[in-house]
Amino acid sequence: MPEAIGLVVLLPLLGFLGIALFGPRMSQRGAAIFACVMVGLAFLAAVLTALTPLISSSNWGSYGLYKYDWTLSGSWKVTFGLAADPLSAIMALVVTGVGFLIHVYSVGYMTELGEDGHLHPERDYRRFFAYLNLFVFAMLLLVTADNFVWLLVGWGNVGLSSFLLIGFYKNKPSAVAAARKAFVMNTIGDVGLLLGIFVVIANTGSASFSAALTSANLTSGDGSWREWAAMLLLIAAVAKSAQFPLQTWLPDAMEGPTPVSALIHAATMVTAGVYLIVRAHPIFGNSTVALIVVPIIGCFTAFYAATCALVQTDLKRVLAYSTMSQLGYMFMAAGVGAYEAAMFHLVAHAFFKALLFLSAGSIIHSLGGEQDMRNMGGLRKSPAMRTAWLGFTIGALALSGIPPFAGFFSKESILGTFPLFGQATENYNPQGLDPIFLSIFGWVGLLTAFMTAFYMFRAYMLVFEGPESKLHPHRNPSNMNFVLVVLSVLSVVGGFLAMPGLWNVLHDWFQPVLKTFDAGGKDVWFPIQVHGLEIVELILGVGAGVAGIVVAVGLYTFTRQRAADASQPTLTSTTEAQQRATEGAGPTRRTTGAPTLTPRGLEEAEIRRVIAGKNLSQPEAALPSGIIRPATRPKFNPVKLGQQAITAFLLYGWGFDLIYKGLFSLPGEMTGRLIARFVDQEAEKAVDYGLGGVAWEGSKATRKTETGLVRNYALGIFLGTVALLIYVAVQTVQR
Amino acid sequence: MSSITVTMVVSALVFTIGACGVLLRRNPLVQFMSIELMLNAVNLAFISFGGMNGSAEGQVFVLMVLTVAAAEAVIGLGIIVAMFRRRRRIDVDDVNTMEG
Repeated sequence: MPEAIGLVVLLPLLGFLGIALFGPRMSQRGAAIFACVMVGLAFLAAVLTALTPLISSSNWGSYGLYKYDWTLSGSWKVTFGLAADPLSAIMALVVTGVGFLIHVYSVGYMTELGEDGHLHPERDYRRFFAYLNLFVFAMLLLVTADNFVWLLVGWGNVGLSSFLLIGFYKNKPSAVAAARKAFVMNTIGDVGLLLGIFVVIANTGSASFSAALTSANLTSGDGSWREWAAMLLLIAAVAKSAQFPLQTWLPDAMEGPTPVSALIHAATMVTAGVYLIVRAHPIFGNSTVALIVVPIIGCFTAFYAATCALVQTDLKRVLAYSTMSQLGYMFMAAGVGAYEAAMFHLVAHAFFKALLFLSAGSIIHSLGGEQDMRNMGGLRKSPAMRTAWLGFTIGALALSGIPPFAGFFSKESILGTFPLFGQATENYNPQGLDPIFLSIFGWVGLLTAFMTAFYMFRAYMLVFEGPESKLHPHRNPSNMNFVLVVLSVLSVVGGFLAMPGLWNVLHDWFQPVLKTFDAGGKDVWFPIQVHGLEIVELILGVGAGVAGIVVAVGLYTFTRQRAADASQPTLTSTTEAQQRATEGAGPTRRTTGAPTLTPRGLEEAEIRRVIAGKNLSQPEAALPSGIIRPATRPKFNPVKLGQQAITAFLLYGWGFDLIYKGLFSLPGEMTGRLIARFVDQEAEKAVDYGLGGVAWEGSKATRKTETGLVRNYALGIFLGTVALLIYVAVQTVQR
Repeated sequence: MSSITVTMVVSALVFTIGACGVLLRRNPLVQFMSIELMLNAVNLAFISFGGMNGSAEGQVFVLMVLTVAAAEAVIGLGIIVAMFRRRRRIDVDDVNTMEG
């Protein structure tokens, strides 16, 4: 039933509007349940949509259900329309499915421990759920739009709701700064998307996918516009999916509540870039530049983010870099034309990354907002943490690509795309890329898989093993644990969608949408199961994961690595450091907005103190740069210094924040300061004493006529009317 | 003297009385009554012109004016009541904060 796609989009919108308009009349729980129900119903509608091929085999229909003319300009028009096809259906399933689970989870998560020992809804509970519904609606609009213009509408709206949710704790300066950063980075992408759409419309005469993408596949005529369109759309994809060089916003986005990180910054929104490439694959697949650039970007980001994740001490930041890295894998696959593999990893990743984030959220929630892994430890033994432990372990195994978890299949299908030993044949290299390239991507992918397993199990060892932490976890509400169990099951069985060589549900599933645009009848897939050395590559792939786990477990069991970690420099998020630099203010080192006793109250008090210019609670933290605080006094020791330098380098994501600050932010700031200092003040004086003086002097005489007495004004009106009448009378008589 | 002349003269007289009342009196209630006089002078002129031309449009206009006058009276009285509550006396010359 493709028509159900209309309901899928409509219901979350109703949820958002309902809470926005009638929120104050709902109880807090009521609003939350309303939001959950709306997304749950949307999920059912998405299931109905996805059942289309079962009900009648060939009935995906065409693009454009619920069509109406939106903007008319002469004979050219933009229509509104929803696309019900395999690609949008599977995206809608993921968004509503994972979205629903995260809504349910949030009901429990967005609470804080009251003084009576019970959990109470946090402040702005309803606003949170309204935003969540808004996000789900925007994301669904993005993935179901049947033309580029409505794709842009959804694209902009997910950016907005991401901004709103990252900055949900609006009294926390670092969260607000992170939200702004994400928004600015995403706006760069939006501009790219807009320009890309212009190029598409100018060269194909249409914004709708069916018309534009079909003509993108025509080999006749000048095809150079496809290079431009692909590059511009790539900017958008790169910004949304946090790929190099627009990647720096994602780690900071972890300032938002953890369910938001799970939903938006792991499972759904950040995959929009991958979706865009797959959706517009006739443009990307026919562009010779994109075929090289996209996988290079993906490959570099996968490697880069994995190295950064190796040393992070904040649990959520590990997962953020890991998300970036996995998205790099998807870009790698989508870039060379393995769209099926990219989408497979997208779906599987949505399951296990949401699971990892929500498990992490459970831990953070029950530890009262603690995110630093070095303060955790030994949590496996805590009875309150049993479900979180299960979820995290399954998620970590899936992410490391250990069979039979979902990540194994999806990651292997991506790694299998790249022949490691340069054995390219026409069969799986239809785009004619240099086999050397492909094998380099393959080896980097393997190395990244090793690092992935390592950093996940480093996190596991720090959180769950070792000496027990001094923090006492409290129990989480049962709905949070329920969601963890459901996602655990999905992370275990999700991989069986596609078993290379045995069956491949996904391949058949995507056949209709990707066949439509086939260039000259040539199959743009890499059939995963074909090439000869697959067993060797499979062993290497799993071996990398196992090796990573073994090294991590060994390092943290038998060596003093844990102690070394503890003396590592502490990361204060760059946005936070900036805040501190500008305000000269003290620490806002309170992590999530979640529990501890009325944390928001404490913070407000602190902000007030800062404003009043009084002493801060922790004055030693107001170091000028505020960036690196070594835990121990540094002694001269070249090896140790080198280690620390590398650690800090990785901890700060290779210093891209500083580079961007120097390149873009500082020149603008300096120009602004110069103008403020010299131009603005002079201009202000000129305006003050010039224009103002003229007006003051000029009005001295007329000012007296304003008596403020109503009768005088009425007399003026009366006399004016009489004068007019006399004038008219004289004119009439003269004629 | 034709009837139209008579009604026009009456209308002009009433209008002048009303205008003088608005300009000279300081009690807003009286001013309101004067405004009503002016409006009704205009109404009279409308009706007589309508009758002269044999059309109903003059009367339609009068109904419009009456409606507007009623609405205006409501607002005006509201202002007067508010004024009275604040100052315990009503004199339009007290209200002069718009003075330049």
